[in-house]
Order: sequence, then C-alpha cells, then structure tokens
Amino acid sequence: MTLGEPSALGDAEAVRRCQQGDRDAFRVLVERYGNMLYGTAYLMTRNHAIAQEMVQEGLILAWRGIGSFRGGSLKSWLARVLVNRVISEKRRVVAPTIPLDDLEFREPPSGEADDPAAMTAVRLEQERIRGVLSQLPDDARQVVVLRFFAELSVTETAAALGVREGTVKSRLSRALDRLRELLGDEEESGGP
Amino acid sequence: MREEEETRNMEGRLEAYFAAERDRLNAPADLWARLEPRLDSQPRTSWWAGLLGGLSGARPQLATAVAAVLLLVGGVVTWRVILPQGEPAPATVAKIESAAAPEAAAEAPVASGAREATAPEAMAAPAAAPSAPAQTADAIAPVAAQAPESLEGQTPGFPASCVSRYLPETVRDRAFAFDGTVESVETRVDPKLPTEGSQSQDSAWVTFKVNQWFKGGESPDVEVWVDPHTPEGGWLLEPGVRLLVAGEYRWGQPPEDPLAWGCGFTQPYTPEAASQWADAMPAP
Repeated sequence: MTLGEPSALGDAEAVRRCQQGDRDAFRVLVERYGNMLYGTAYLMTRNHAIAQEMVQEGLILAWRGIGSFRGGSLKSWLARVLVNRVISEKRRVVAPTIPLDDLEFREPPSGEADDPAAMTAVRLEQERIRGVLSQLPDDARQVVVLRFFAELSVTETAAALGVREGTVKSRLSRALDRLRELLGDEEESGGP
Repeated sequence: MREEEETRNMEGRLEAYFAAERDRLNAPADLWARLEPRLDSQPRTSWWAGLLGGLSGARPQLATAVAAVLLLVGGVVTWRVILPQGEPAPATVAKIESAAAPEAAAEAPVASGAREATAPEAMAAPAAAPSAPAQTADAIAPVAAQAPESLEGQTPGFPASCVSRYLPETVRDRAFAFDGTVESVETRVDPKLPTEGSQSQDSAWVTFKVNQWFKGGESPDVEVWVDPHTPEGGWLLEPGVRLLVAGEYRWGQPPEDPLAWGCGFTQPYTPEAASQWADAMPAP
C-alpha cells in the first residue's frame, strides 16, 4: 500500500492490516478520521490543548485495542473510544471556564468577506449557537456533537455513547427543544 | 406541525453551524508524527483474532472452521490436564492463601507477547499482574465465578449474588485494588470454569493502564478477568474507560488469574471514591 492512495484502502481492510501490526494502515485511519475526532474532542472540551491530547490518547487506545474491534462502524467505534477518554478526563479535571481558544476571531467562510452584512450575520449566528450549545448539559451536547458535527447516524451515536437508540433520540429531542428555547430568548433580547 | 417545522429549522441551523466548524477544526498537521512514537510496536490483538485474520484472507470458512476446531480441542485438552476426572470442580466458596505466593510469581513477564504467541494454556498465565499481597487473607471466591443460589452466609440488604458488602473499608480486604484505564478488552473463555449448568464461561480479559495502585501491585499495566455479564449500573467496558478495580485471584495463587469483583468493588472512577479508597488503603 502506498500512502499516496489512502482512499483506496477501505476501513475493513485497514482494520485487518492494523490487527496484523501494519502502522501504515493505521496512519490511513488517523488521516481519515483525525479531523472528526479532533473536532469532537474540542467541541466536548472547548480547549485545543486538551483536545489534542485526548485525540492522541484515544488513538493510542484504539491502536492497542483494535484487536477487539468486531466489525460494524469503525467511525462510531473510534468515536466511542474518544468519548470514553474525554468523559474520564472530564471527571478528573475541572473543565476550564472560558479558554482563550474560544475568544479567537474566526475568519468568515470564503466568499462572504466581500459582503460585510452577510459576514456579520454569519458571525452572529455562529456566536449565538456556540453560546447556547455551551449551556447544554454534557450528555445532550455529546449527542448533538456526534450527530451534527461527526455526522454519525442515530445507531452509530448510540454505539459511540454505549446507550440505546431510543436514549439518543430522546436526548436529541430534548437538546433541540432546549436550543430552540435558548435561541428564542436570545433573539428576543437582541443578544449577543 | 409548527413544532416539526421548528425542529427542522433548528436542525438546519445546527448543520450549517457544524459545517463551518468542520472547516475550521482540523487536527494538527503533525498528528501522526506526534502519535507514531507513542504507539506500541504491535496492537494487542487476541491470538484467535490474529489467527482468523491471518487465515481469512484466503478462505474465510476454512479459517473459521479451523479456529473452531482448535478452540474445541484446546479447551478439552486444557480441561483434562488442569482438572483430571474425579477432581472436584472449584468450590463455590474457596479459601485463598495469598501469602504463599512465591517472589518469582510476582515478577511474571509482561503479558502481551507471550499471550499472543501461545494457545489456550496462555490464558492461565497473566502477566504484569499485581504483586502478591503480603498478608494472609481469608478471601471468598469471586462472585463472577459462582452460582448465587449456592452462596452461604449472605448479609441481608445487598444482592444475593454478592458475597461481601462493598464499603470503602472492605476494599482493603481484597487482594488487589487500583485505579486504571481500560486499554484493551478481549473476550476469552476461562478453561478452568466448570461447564455444568447454564453459567457462561466467557469473560473479558482486560488490560488496564494503572493510574494508581492502592494495594497489591506496582506494575504500570495489569491484565485482569472482568465478568462482562455483571457490571452494575450499566458502565462500559471499553478502551478509555477509567475504573476503580478491586478483586481476588480467581483460582488461588497470585499472580495467576486476577479477577475484578463486582458488587461495587469495581466501579466507574470518581475522585470521591478514589479518595475514599486511598484513605482506606494508605500508602506504606
């Protein structure tokens, strides 16, 4: 296998090779899922440094434990290993309040920089949603992040969190209701 | 109707928000460079998975059949060797003389290599196990290995399948206790378990990275049997999960076959419980 054509290697074959100790195959998986794992870790911890460490530790655990992977969605299995690691870490460490990372200015999506009004609207929308997401309880935020950021299905989200599909659906429904309420309150008050 | 529309609208806003986050949140460009030196040379693949993996590329059905026959033969042979006919099956309530552990046993080699290289005999040879406890303890065989109805002397107020009431103070009566993070989980069959009745023989063979020893060991890693059928409270047995683990040696002599007890003696890590365990088992 050459790393120049990583997409040619499917997950199942990559896992099989990893189980035989093939690091190049694991590298393919790291490159394929690294951004998803990193973003998920960041959105759960709101801290770039902790997220980076969690992703590395999660991937080390995944490498060691890949022999116990029994098929199904590799993406949700990797997410599960990561979520377990993040939850353990959050139990151990008091989460920082407002990390500096979150105060960074965000570049607007390309194409909108020429339209100051559109740029402002996008920024406002991002900040509103980021603000209300941070007010969700951890279990609700996990479901939202896995469904909408990691783009896991309900079944995969359930597998990643180790809960039933019905639990995912009810948590998601409550989370969406709560987000609507919070956004409604903010928009009525004109904030942020 | 309006509520459905609002829900769809909310989902649309979240999708747009997270799409922008996906563009922005990228793993460090040098993630692999940072990760690679930290990886073990080989993943801790179970020997049977390796066997199946190695054979399945050519003829999957043949591989499965061969593995099944090997498992059956290995199990029967091991059972015959370890428990000859006429010898009673391990008692439901067994006395463990943990002080008899030889020094050499406490220094057993690290497991993964030997474990992968050998057949079912290796199942009975865990390594990196906790060192032998110094005191003699009257210990009761673990709950996972016995039928609840055969237990005697139950204390009212806790499940019949538990042979000892969990309290932070009673953890110190166990042979080993540690705070560990699950590194890998394999399903194995303990060939020493009796086959009679409906009791399942498969257990989880779990490798922990030890964050802190409270009692009975010093190794940075340890491998322990955990009964996957009896976790209380629905906690997960998956890589990354952090647990407080206490237990005994399943069939007698340390460091052979350490078994995590249920009934609260093994539980999800919390700083509060870890602090109670540390208070109950102060470092010498």
